[in-house]
Amino acid sequence: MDDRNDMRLTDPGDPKLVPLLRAIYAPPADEAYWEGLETRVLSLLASNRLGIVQLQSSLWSVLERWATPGLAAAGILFIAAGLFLAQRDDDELETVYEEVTEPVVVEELPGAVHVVTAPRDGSSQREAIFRYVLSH
Amino acid sequence: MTGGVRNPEEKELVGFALEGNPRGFAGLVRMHQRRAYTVARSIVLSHEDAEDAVQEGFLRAYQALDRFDPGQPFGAWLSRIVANAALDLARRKKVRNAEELSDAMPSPFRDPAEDAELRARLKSALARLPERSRAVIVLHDVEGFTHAEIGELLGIPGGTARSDLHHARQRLRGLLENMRD
Repeated sequence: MDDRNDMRLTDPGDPKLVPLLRAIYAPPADEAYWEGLETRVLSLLASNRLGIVQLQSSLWSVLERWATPGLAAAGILFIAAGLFLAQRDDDELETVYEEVTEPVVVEELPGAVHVVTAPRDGSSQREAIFRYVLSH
Repeated sequence: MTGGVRNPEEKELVGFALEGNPRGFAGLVRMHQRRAYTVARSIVLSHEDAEDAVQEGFLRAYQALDRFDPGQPFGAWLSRIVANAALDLARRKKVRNAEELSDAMPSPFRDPAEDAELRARLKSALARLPERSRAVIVLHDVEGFTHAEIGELLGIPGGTARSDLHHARQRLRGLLENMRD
């Protein structure tokens, strides 16, 4: 905290300006002024303290009056939010289900060889023979 | 400034105030109002504004009393609050026209014509300085606070207060020179 080796000892400021600065910034010398200021500060604190007490009591009375309707409104909001979330979950589930069950469409690339695979159960093979017999 | 030294009477008053005894805070107001005024006056441009800042500072301190650490000196804590209140007030009421300010500042004494002319220029130049620059000049050159004490009051390091003072003086001299031309 000791700052005695500071610039003030070597550079006390402009000797012509410092007396003028001291004159400009001189605090009131009258003791009555300080008594008056003290009274004004304490009055301000007293009115503020009173204001805080009044504000607190009025806030509590407002809270008491609105406690029941407030709780009811909060309950309704809670239920509505729950329903909304449940509905949203159902929609999401349905969307995911549709995405999984829909066939995947693969686009053909240009120049790709079209491969036709023969059915394994033999039903279409019978149809082909039948068409061949009819055409001849 | 008492710095870290704790006055037993102050300690007792702080104890009363923290217990909610109105006599405690009233005693602290009486004990510290002059220093609070000095700090505020170094920042704002008029006696009336300093008085407003002092009242605002005490009100803020009273409202924040539950956050005050009783192990710390009350005066230093209060001074920082008052300095902040004064800085807020100065920023709100910042007037750029130095001529208007010169007229608004009450003259506490009469002096010869040369001094009166210099004083008028000095007031104008002070009004053009930033709040913190003005504060370090006044707190140092008028009130005799050390750099470390000024740093504590304004919430800046002591080294910053020292360099602020150097630059503020340079700027003040420059402004006074310009006005003379």
